[in-house]
Amino acid sequence: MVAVLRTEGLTKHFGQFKAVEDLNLDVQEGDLYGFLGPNGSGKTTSMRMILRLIRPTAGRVEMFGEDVQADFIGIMERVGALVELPAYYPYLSAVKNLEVLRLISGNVPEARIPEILDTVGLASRMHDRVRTYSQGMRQRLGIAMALLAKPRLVFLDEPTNGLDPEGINHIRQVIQELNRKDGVTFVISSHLLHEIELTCNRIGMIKRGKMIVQDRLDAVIARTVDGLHVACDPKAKAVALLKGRDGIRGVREEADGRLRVSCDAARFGDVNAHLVANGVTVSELTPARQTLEEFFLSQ
Amino acid sequence: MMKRVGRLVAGETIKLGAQPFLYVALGILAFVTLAAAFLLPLMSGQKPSVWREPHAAMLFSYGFGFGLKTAMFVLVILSSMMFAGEFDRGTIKNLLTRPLTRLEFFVAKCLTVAGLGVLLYGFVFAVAAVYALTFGSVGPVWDDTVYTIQRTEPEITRHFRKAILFSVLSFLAAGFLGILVSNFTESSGYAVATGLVIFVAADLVTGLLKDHAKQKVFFYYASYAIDRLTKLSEGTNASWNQDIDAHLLWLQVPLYSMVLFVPAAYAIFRSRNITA
Repeated sequence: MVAVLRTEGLTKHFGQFKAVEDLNLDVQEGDLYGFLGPNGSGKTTSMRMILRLIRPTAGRVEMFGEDVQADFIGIMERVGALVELPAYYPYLSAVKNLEVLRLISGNVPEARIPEILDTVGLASRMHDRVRTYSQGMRQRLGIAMALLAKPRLVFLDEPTNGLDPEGINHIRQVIQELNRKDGVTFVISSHLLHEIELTCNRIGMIKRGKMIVQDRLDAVIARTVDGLHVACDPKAKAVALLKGRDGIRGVREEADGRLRVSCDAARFGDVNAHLVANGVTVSELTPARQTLEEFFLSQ
Repeated sequence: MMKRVGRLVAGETIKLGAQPFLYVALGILAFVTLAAAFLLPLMSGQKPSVWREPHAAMLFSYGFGFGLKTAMFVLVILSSMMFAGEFDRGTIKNLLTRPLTRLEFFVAKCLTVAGLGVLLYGFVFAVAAVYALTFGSVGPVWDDTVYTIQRTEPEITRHFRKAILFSVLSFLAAGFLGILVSNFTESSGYAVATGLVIFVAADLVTGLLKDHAKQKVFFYYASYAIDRLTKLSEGTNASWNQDIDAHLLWLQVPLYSMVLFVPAAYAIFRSRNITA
């Protein structure tokens, strides 16, 4: 795998305020990278620094293995971005808005405009002035702008803002299809953990400007396992057997009648064997997971 | 680099061409130019008679003078919106995340303003010229009391060319003032207001200055040139200022002003963080 985006010690201070601190992003080719964090955590500031819209206080950015400062134009020919809210000329139609960007991007055929507008579901209104669009349609136009020049790396900042559930699902499919068919790498920033969980294969979590977790989604999800749900009989005996046992952090009965055993995944087999060996009938044993949100908050 | 700048200018042309204000402004310019060309000769008592039609150069200079002054305001307004408008709408981040440098972007904006200036100048010129040639006479300027030739046709043509030459750069420099103002703020409304206030205030203050001091202000030369043409085509004894001719002040002052405005504007633009 090749790193298409790597930041080293990326830092931004606004006066005394540390917006982003020592950020080391690592995005591999073909990743659907979810950049997670609550509002104000530094996601957009990081994106702006990566795209050279704002000057970092410290650190460097590499895209496609090259320093962004060394070959900005060459790199940006392969990059598309939607940063924060979609921006457009309200008195122009979607086609004309894209035509302005097509001219600037160079080497983008005219036929690409109706094609990308069809992809994002704006084909029927492509000649209408953007000022008449709904918020969701404007968001779709913003995504079309980012995808116009068939980039290899796309930054989407909160791409599902203002979209209805159907729209969110559609855009998710577009992203996943471009990733699967054309190998486009996406960096998607969002505060919607569920959305990222459905879309991405790798995530980075940022909190108060600092990266707290960066890994494959499945690896992060594996880390969210913090115990077991156990359906057994007799329960009182099982509680007595498990309480105080080595590696067991706690046992409590849940509303559905199952026991919630807090322990590491390595202890799951031991829990089962210990209960069965002592005459407790175990009818269900399933891993208990934190949601990504609970995991994020626990960090 | 030039290819990218050319593409940017083409993009700017699409945006400008779709700006409703541009067409409103052109309508206003046409109205002001025609109204001035029609009303000012009447107000100055120059009525056509069997013997004498108003001279085309005079009608032109009446209309063109007012039209050009108004066009300067339009140019300041539109150029003040050039950068601030992109910040205001947030479209600056769309543009600067494309394969182009900030210098190319800046150069393209400057070229667009220059092109816009030429368009406005050309439009007012065309409207004034069409009116003048339709309702005025060409040829020499006659004295309407003793029927002698006051200015020959070649003489008038020479003054006409000179007036156009003196006024072009002075007019275009107003656009570069707008570019500088446009970089002071991220609000196009504030930028336009600031640009207009600076321009109007400077115009008023300049009116109070002595001739020597006026010659240091770039926009003085547009009104000076047209004023000379008006007087010469009316047959008065007016003449061109020798100092301005000898030291090429009509060229130097607007050029120095642009040299002052453009790098300052670029320095501000270059240093700015794009948080729009």
